Amino acid sequence: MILGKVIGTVWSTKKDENLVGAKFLIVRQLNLDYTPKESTVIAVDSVGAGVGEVVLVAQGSSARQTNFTRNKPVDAVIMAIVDKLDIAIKE
Amino acid sequence: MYLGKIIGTIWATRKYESITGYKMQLVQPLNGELQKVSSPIIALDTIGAGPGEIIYYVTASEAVIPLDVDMAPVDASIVGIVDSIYVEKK
Repeated sequence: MILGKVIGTVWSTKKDENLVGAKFLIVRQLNLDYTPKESTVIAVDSVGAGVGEVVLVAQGSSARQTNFTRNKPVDAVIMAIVDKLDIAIKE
Repeated sequence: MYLGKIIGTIWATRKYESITGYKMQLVQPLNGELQKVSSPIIALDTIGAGPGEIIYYVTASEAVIPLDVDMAPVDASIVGIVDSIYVEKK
């Protein structure tokens, strides 16, 4: 999974019919010190995340492993909201 | 499967229901010489590994197989702790 921050929402009316009802969020990838990386990803929300929250995103075929996204054209899903991140080994 | 080192832990109270109870660890991917490659990822811990340990992990949808549940949105799972490793010198 990757660490990211929700920075926005995507609305779309015309889309694959399997995706009706999905909540799409724009997630900016973060480094472990919470500084933003360049890349962003559009992910389907499965935990009720909102803008500004730090989340974990599962990518690839694993993104289809939720009740909602099963067999749907989805390759990124938000599956956790981060409370705390403890880096024990700094290099 | 890939080699990695656990460098920390992540707490998330709110997570997808089927993975409640599983610990998530920060993993720094390593190569055969135990040098860092690419940036850290987050992996689900299925064996009880801790920070500082060298482990190996599976990625993609195979990461769901070691879990006790049928479906879980997980793309990396720690499946073993490395006791020793031998790599032929180049």
